[in-house]
Amino acid sequence: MTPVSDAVLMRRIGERQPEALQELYRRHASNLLALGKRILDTLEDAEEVLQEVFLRVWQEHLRYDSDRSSVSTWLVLIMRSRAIDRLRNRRVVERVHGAAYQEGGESYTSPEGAVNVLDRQREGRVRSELQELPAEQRQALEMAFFEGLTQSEISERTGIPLGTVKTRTLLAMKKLRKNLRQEIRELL
Amino acid sequence: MTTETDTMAPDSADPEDQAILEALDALASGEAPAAGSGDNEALRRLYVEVLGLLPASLEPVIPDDRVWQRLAAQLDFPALAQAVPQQEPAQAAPMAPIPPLAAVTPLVPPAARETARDTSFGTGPVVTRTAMRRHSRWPLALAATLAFALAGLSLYLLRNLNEQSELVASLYVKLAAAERQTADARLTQGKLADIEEKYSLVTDPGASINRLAPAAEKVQPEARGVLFVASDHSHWVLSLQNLHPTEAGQGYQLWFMGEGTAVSGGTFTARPGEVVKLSAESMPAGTKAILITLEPAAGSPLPSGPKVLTTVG
Repeated sequence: MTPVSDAVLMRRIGERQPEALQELYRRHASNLLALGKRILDTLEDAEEVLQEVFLRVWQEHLRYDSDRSSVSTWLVLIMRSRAIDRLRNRRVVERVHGAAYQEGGESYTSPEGAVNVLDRQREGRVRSELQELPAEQRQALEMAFFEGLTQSEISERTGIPLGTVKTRTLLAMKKLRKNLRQEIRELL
Repeated sequence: MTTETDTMAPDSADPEDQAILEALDALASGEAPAAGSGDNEALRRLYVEVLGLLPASLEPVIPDDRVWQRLAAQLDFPALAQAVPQQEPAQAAPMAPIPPLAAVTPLVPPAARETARDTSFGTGPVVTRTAMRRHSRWPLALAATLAFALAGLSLYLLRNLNEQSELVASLYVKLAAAERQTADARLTQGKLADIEEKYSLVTDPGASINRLAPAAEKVQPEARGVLFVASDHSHWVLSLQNLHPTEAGQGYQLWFMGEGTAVSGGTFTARPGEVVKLSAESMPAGTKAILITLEPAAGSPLPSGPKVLTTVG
């Protein structure tokens, strides 16, 4: 049986079917939580953001526009944006209190059996393509995406000229787009 | 706040660079750029999806069951709060090893180069320096011309290939949009057919209309309902209003009441302000009345909970 697409799930969420939200959560929560944890560094904060994201999906489902992005990309962009907002707020709080953030000390290892095989293969391909990028291009892209830095901030932090940072980001994006054609098509 | 485009090269004339810049805007705003605001829409869309793929490079992290339970409680989904979505078991696909960078291999092996040198200059008739230059230059010139021609041809083919690739990408995006529109149209068509069917039922001159009012116990005095039964006495539509939202572990149950019999029509839930609509193409023979009771979520074999609504007359 062909599984229902994410786009159909979004329509069902629009028709107020909670089971559709549950299915969307089942499909994407583990990847989104990984993103939140990568940005925020703590599982507890990332889980709170994850909850906020799916709350927003239910309450603001009309904001999703299938012409702009796939559902999974929409979820990723919301998750990233919320996590980075929280990270920035946390930095402000840290500055106010003058104390460095201390991680809760939790240790986490991803259990096996998180996602289905197709997702695994996609993850493997994306990971491999990222690793194939020259280190400096990967660094520019990862700092922009996972750390929420602008190109100027990357330039300041690394001491690399702004023009070079821009060029590296553009090159990295072009390579990924070219080499991940199949994965992108699956999302469309 | 500084946006990505403020700091990226805004004067870049390359449409592909522009598409990337616009896609990167999504990082600053948290939303993909609006569609239809540029010529290179398809390219921009592809780059937005590239960004969406990046987290796939991370090892997935399974959320604690309590995350879903808190969310379900927050959204008032009592029935789903305990049903934590289970991730599909993974069979870890082996990671493709990253191949090491290929060592740069000389076009001509050293030994061959030695041999070439030997055969060019080691034996044969003695030639003057000028003659040797003449002899050695024309093949070089020819080779250079050929190399230039090949390089030009390669560039042309590469450019052509890139253009074709862009075209294919753009067609994919359009195809995906068309497929979505088709799916939407089918869905709308289905809904329309459903509405038409219900409309024909409620406007059928032979249809009977029965009001549902709170049962004697007045458990929910504001609750109301209307039952339409088609002239075939089988096809029916039931509309219920002002039902209290169901609590965790509870559900409403529909009963078809006959002479001393009660046949369950199934359970349903209600959310605040929702008009519950139920319909089916058949009704148990001998049905004299409709009853709505409040029962455990899984339903009861016979009406046992508080009676909420019943047909009047």
